[in-house]
Amino acid sequence: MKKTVLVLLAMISLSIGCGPTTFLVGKDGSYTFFGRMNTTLAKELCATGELRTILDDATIPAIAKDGLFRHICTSEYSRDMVLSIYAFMTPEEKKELWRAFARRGYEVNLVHC
Amino acid sequence: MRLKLFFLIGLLFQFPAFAGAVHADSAPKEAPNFSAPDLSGKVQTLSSYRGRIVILNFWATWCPECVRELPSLSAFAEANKDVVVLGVASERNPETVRDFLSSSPVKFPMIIDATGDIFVTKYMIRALPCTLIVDRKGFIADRIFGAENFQSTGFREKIKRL
Repeated sequence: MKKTVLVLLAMISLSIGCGPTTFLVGKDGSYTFFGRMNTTLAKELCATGELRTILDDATIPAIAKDGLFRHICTSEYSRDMVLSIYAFMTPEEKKELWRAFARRGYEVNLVHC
Repeated sequence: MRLKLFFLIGLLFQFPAFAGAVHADSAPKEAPNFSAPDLSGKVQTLSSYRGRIVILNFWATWCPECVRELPSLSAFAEANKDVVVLGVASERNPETVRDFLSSSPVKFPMIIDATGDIFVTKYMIRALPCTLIVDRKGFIADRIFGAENFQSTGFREKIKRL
């Protein structure tokens, strides 16, 4: 139910611009939009170093690895920067990021319009 | 019941997404300056075009909507030489853009932003395609997300008003 609601909320929030500007990440019943920091899962990803590990494991450009970590997990938090870095990534780089999450046991849900 | 309600609300909010280009008016903000070589080797510096209207078009060869709007932007550039049109391709390899343009040439300079310095660091573009209209004083007068018809009366009127 929670996952369905979150997916629907994603559809609403993404309806202004076509195309997936972010994605939903989940594990053990907890979900978060990639780039948000106001959820338990998002905080865990940063606090445990898991996000750093996932980004290091992904074959994505340096601006993505360093920028995504810096703008999600540090005092330089900026959702706008995260979304911009994600928009800058090619479709293959985005898939590689999703695969990196999947390799660590996360579920990835994409929302398209 | 609640789920159906959420679904209906979600559907309602999808309609703007299918309306084509979404025009987002913003409070005037100075366009961040940049200097970068275009594919011909000429260095393009945004501030050097102060006094003229500049159209910055952010795109990528892997973005279907971007590719779809390029011909109309090229035609606009050709017909409106008083307006500066600059393409900013977010592409890791310049040769990918060269190859693309060799079969689909455009009539405006093309900058390759391989590192994201312009796309991310300076402009924080969040979706492609994105077109920014910079006025004669160097302020961002309008932002257009999604494919635009640059030959349309609406777009031409927008430029005329500046």
